[in-house]
Amino acid sequence: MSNNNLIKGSLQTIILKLLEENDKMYGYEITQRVKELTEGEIKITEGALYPALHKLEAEGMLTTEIQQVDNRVRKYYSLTKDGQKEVSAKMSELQSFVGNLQRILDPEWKPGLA
Amino acid sequence: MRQLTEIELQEIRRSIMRKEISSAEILMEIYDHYISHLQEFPEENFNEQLFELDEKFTYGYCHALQYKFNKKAKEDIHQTQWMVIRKYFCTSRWFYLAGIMALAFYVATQARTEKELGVLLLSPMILLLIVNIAFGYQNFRKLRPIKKTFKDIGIPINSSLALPITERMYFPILMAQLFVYVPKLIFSQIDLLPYLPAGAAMITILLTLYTVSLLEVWKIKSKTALV
Repeated sequence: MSNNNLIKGSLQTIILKLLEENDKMYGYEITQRVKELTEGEIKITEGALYPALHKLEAEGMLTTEIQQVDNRVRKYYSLTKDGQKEVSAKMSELQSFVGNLQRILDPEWKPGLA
Repeated sequence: MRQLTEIELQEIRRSIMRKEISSAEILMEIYDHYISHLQEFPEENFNEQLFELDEKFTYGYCHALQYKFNKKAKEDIHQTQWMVIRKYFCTSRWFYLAGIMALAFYVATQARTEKELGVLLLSPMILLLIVNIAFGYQNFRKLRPIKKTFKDIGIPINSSLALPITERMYFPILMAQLFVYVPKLIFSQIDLLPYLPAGAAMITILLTLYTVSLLEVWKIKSKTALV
């Protein structure tokens, strides 16, 4: 089953979270890291990744750095101060959403129970 | 991960050039994505993987990405310059602003002829010209590797962020002409001579602030972008 629609809404949070843990990353590296962490279950499409990165950059959440790598230019993304603040806000928003979703799917479920 | 051969790199460049992207930022990002992806696969899978990438980075997708990026770059430059200008009116910078204003008004009141006032008006223009030349050179230097890589693309490659800065450099020239010629045409019957020093001083201050703010925008953006 394609989970693209489920990922779409949380893509920005995923990017921000990864950048919080990895200091700086480039586009392809982000797709690979997500694939690696989810053992291939979640694949971020290029079609969604770059518009999301550019949007976060325009919003001032990310800053970029240009570096010369093997005869080509690479654009690295990293969090700005605003971006660092946004990560925790987005994370708690997402966790609260997941908790609510869990309650809908399983009304018996209580937070903290495995 | 393996090193791609020159033939494979040429194939990638040809494939990207077919998308006719003119934004240096988008070009370098897609080129890096293609290479990073294809390096992960053995030589025999190269064509298949290149085809898959082309299916993802279609002509339409690349142009939509470029359009949005250019639009955001324009907004970004506008917002950054506005932020810089607002800072000039902060308490810590009032001293400099007052200094520039006092100097411009003093020079304007000391001027005896229209020619001398013209020289005063010309001073921020000369500063703008110097900024323009330096900006052009820096931009050329930063874009050179990308232009060299895609030398056969057939369309001009420009930085998405450089374009709005360049446009803003030409804006004061148009405005200055408007300020100089329009009063002469509309108020031809009125003697403007008594108002000329104050007018010239005001225009000089505005142009100087505008040019210095643009210089600061460039300084801010040069740390992170191709400008």
